Amino acid sequence: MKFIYKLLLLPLLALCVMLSSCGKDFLELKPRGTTLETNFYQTQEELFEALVAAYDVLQWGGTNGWTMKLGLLNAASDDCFAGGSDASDQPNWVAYDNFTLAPFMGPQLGLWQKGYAGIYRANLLLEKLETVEDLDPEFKARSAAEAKFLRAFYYFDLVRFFGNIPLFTEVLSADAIYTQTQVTPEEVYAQIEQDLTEAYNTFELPETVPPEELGRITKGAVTALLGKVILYQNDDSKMEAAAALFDEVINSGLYALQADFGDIFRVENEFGQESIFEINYSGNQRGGWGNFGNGTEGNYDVQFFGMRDYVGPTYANGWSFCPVTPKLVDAMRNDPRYPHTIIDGNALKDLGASYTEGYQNTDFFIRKYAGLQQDRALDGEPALNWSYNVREIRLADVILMAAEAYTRAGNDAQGKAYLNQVRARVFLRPITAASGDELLNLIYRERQYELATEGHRFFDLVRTGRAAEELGDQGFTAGKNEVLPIPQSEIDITTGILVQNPGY
Amino acid sequence: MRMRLLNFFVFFLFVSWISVHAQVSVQGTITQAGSSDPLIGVTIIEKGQPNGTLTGSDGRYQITVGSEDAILVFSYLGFTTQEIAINGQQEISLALQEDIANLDEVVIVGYGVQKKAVVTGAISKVRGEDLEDMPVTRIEQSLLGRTSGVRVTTASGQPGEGATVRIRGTSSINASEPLYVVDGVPIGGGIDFLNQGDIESIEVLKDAASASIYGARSAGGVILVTTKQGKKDRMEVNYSGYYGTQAPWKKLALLDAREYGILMNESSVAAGGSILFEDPESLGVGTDWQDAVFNYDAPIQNHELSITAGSEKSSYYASFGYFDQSGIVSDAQSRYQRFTARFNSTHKINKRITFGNTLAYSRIKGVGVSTNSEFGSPLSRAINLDPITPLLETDPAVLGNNVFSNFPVVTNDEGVPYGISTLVTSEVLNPVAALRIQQGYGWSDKVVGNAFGEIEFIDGLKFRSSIGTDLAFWGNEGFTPIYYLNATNRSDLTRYNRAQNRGLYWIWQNTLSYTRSFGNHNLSLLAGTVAERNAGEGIGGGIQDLPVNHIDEASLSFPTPAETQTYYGFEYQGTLASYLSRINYNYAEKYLLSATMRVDGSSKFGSNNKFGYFPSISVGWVVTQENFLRENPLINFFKIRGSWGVNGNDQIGDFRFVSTVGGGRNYTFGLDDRLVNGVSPNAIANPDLRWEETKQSNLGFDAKIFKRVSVTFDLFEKKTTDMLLDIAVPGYVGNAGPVGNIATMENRGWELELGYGNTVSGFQFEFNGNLSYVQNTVTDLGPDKEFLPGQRFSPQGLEITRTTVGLPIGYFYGYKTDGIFQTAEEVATYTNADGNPLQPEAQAGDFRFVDVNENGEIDPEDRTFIGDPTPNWTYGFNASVGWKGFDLVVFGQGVAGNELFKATRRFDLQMANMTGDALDRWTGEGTSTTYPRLVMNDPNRNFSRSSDFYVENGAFFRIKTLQLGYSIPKGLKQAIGFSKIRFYISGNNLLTFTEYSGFDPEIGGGSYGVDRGIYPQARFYLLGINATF
Repeated sequence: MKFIYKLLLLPLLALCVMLSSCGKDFLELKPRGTTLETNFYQTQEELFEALVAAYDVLQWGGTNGWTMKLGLLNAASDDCFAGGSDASDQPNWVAYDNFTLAPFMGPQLGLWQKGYAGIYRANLLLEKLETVEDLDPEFKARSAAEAKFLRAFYYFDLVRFFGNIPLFTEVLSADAIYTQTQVTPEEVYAQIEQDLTEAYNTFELPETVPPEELGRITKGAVTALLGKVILYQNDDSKMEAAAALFDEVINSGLYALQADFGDIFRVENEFGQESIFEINYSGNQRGGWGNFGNGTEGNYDVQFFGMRDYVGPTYANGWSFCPVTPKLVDAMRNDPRYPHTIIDGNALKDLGASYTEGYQNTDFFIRKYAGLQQDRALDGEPALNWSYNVREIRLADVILMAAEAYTRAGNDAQGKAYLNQVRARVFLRPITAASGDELLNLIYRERQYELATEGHRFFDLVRTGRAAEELGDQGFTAGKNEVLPIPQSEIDITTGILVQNPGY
Repeated sequence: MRMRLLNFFVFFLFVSWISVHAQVSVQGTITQAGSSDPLIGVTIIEKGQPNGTLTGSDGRYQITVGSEDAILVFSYLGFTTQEIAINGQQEISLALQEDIANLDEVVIVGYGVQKKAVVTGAISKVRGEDLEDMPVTRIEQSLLGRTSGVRVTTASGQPGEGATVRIRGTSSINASEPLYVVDGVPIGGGIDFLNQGDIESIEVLKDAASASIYGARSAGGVILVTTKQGKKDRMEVNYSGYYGTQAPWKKLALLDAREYGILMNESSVAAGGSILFEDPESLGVGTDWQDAVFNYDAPIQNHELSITAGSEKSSYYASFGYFDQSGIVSDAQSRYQRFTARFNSTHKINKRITFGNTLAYSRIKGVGVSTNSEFGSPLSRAINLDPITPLLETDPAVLGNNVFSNFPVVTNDEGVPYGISTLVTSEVLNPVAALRIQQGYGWSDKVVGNAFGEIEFIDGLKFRSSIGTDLAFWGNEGFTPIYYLNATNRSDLTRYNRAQNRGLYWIWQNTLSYTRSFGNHNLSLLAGTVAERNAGEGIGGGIQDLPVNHIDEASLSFPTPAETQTYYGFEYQGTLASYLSRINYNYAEKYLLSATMRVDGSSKFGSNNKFGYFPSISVGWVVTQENFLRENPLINFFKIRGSWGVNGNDQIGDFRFVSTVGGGRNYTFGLDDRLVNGVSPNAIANPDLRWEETKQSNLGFDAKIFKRVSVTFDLFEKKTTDMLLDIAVPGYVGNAGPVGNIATMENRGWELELGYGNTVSGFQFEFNGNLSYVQNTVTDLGPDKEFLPGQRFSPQGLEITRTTVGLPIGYFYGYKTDGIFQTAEEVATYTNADGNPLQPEAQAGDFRFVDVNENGEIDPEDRTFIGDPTPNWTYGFNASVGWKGFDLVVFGQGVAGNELFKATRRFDLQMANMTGDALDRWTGEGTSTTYPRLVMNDPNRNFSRSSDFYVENGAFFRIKTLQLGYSIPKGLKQAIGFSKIRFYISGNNLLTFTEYSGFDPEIGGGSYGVDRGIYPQARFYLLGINATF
């Protein structure tokens, strides 16, 4: 019997030995389904996935609430009001519409986070591209050019939204996290121009991409954005340089105006002949409220702009944001682009349709990005899965920018020629008599009508100094509301290293 | 057997030898006080002599003692021992008193048992027999109101719903659930696999010293569940079952169609709009949506069959259970069914080797509706849907319109379409129609077992090894038919999804223990090692456009286009390697000392903090063991205890200490929106990441006075540190910050438990009550966070709870109102220091909001603390009285010191129905000071701000159970071969005393304390039987 006890003691001893020696290995597990950062970014495929992540930020619309750039800029401009179900629906949108912005009130945090998330991912890729040996040089050069374009694009948004912002072109190390300071817009613009120029000079960046790559950056997108960035700096001495870039796009033979204005925003004309840079959205990725935020691939603006509880022909229902202002309606009433720009709700009601009148209802709604019944996503939450791409840069915009650049450079003839190209498409009489500032104002008016509700108006007003004049009755204060307040949380967390914008 | 014969022979010789010297014979019958049932197997010993006997099956005994002055000692487990001097009597019959708070009672502690009298920690015990015949769905609910220090808030009244269980307050801003240990096996996925009848006892380890033997998982307290073991020497078969019917106990007063029409007209006109309903009087009562969704006759039934048998060597307990409860909301879509089977056994191979097992299988199937959500729970819809829309649409004019003629509207069995509201939209659908298209259920199959072997090498030195497993399979399936409910809720194609998951947890525990007494020094030592691994995986997928329209016909094998098929999967894993040790020492059961140490190594902890150390110490002094108090008639027992210890919380997620890259940062390229994968780092890493830590001090006493009253009191202070919080980094960093051990909070409180039992002229009384007070305060959220956001309401995401330093966790946050402006002049004179009106947009009838921060305007910074959903007070009692065969049990429970947020109305939907208090709204000067005017668009945002208007007192007291039972008398029982038969009738949730105006004041789960139209607790009546033979 005793022997048996001794025998039983053996496993006990073995156990003690085992636990003390194997303990460490037993507790070291490898995660499954995810990869350690230190093991990633080793192959071309992984670097491409990092590039895609930098693209991903382009279509974010749910950073810290609903913060779609296009819709917010519509609300801020005189194209649209904020709207929604009632005043409390999206107070941040209402605050931008009425310029009751405050450090803690407004869409600034989401826009700020979105921009810098894109910059972080572009910076990371640019760093990682240098660490992998034997990379295909063409892949490396093209990826770097795309990353630089994206970084420039995000900084361009940030500098226009915020003015003085922190600027860096690498992933922040642990000791640099809390110590960044703001630089002037001039310094930011210099960096943007440098990135775009480098991308522009990248031979490997293609002029066109095969159908399955549509949405990736092309030479034309880089050229157009570089011209736009120069134009936005408002320096008349650089207008010729901008005009040259626009010319290059216009004369490339790759783009042409849609013959029919009404066709531009048709879903079958995504990446159409007029498109230079589109932000791609998808209706077939089954987004749901579970991955609301930035996890879906849908265009939330489309849902926002739709008529609330709409039942009737053609259109799908939405949430009645960005009702079109009577000001724009009255201005465009006789413009041929009117029916393709504005939905007349009362006309629909006459046809037997119904919808709930939301906040700031005008009975006029956005047509360009209006969700159509036939395009409603079949899977996932339809509200979050609108597939309509945002026409971020289209040829008519570039032609009008070219017209402006030429005019501001003193070449009225070429300015007029370009202006009339855009007018001719919608069968408007050519402008013949005007010149100088008068011509410039006609070009601005053309931009307002041509690009209405596409999110350009607010920044156009700000950069040309007409914001106070046009938006004053909305509450715009000159010297203050040109930019958003810096998010208060950013000032708090850096214990005041970041300085609030003037007036806030 | 040989042994026993020998014993008998020696005993016989002994008795014969004694009988030579004295010839006094005593006999009698021993019965149970109050019932006159005979007690079988009572030990009768002649004091100071090696002489004794037992009572027989009729309770009779006979003993021959040495002298006429002898003293007889009558003892029986669970009863008070009595000593009787013979004094020449030949017949001594006694009724033994049951010992209500038996000092010999043992309690289960982690890795062992301890005599209650020498326990130095704060441990509450619930006996299985107290839960017998009490209907509860899940075992954790059985703790509700039973012990002090435990707050149980059922998530909702839906069958099978879990509960929020907090021991001594909420111990973390993250996971605060207690650790459940069933027969020595920690259980991760909830303990609803247990059958109530199988429970022997539940011990709640409340203070740090008791819980710290469970180390890194003990911060939320530990609940030890012990299941029944076989009884030696006898075979018993028990059946217990009940059947009952359930119904809602409260309906909300909602506007009927006529009232609705009048108020909506008023609201529209006030905003400058038109009359919406020309003739409200003609609308009549309209549809009662509550009646449409409530089920007033929902069955509940439970059946349990158990068999126990055993011998000296071997014993077992086997049981089968079936439980089936339908919900009071919806007929078919809210139901919970559970089948359980159990086999527990113990075998003694010889004097020194024992082994045994527990093994449980459960199968659960549940269907449920959304229980507390403004986005589509049936009751939220019933509250918000206008009463004008009919349940079924029969109006030919409506049936001919675009919607009814062109869309796949939902119909009842007779093909009549359900009404569709044109007034209230979004998620507020016809609730009955919405329930009809909801098709799906969840299921689980679970096997939990434990096998152990124990060897006693020498007396007192034991080695025990046990292997426990928890093997679980669970999943769900769901089907969406083609339907049209309203413009925003429709499906143009069918969809079917299914998920299946599997998890295996195992634990290998080895302990060496040594127990020995040296004179008055009693010593017990324990050391052990534990290894645990928990891993599992799941897979799920779905297809769409199936050619069927009901879940019963749905199958994943239907050929559908590959690009519309989806699948997903996941894996998880974790390991824990631990060392534990404990020393228990007492001197003559008078001076008590206990110390423990546990070391936990976890795969969850960062590389720089792989092992956590969790020490504890506790001391006690049994004052009544001192000579000066011994044998005093007033205080029978008095023990003072004190303890201190460290507990950990490892619920911090897996692999959070390394930087991982994650997918889903996707983009689509190409005309056909081809998705391409994008990958980026998830967050910045923190290799120093460690467990959360709770340090707790406890001071208490246990007392028994007047022989019948037991009192337990505890005072505690619990400080949680190192709570995990995202370290805030500036947004310009571009990625989420790491998690760090940052925040701290405190819980302080006290607890009282009272017990009383007595038998007076045939009536047996028993009372057990408890009362607890706890105050939670968040003490630090780190340098960069002023608050943590909490719950939100409505599509606008109205912020209604927050967590801030200096206040309790998750308090209600909003504006303070100061009555209602009665006149325009009051609006104009409500000014700030500069004389400017504070609410320039307001009109008479609007709320006057308080400028809390006194900055001269009403802005979001004026939002402040307006209530606390966590009760400070919880209490409960169980009282019973028995007389002859009858017994009556009352069990009540309540909370106080809390508020509830009544967010039942979708204020964002202008035409949503209202509760009856809207009839007392402000309609002119002096008409109301509490309910503002009704006006569409609500320009003053009376309703669309979180404010104290929505906050109500959440205190309640509830008669949880009232049960009347009758046990048939002995003669009849024996005649039909039963040893026990009890019939009972029981009423549950009969009475609820509360000021709260919503459906139910008990609101747990993820929407703690916020009523979004809560699925209420049912009131139910049961008829049951409990029989043993």
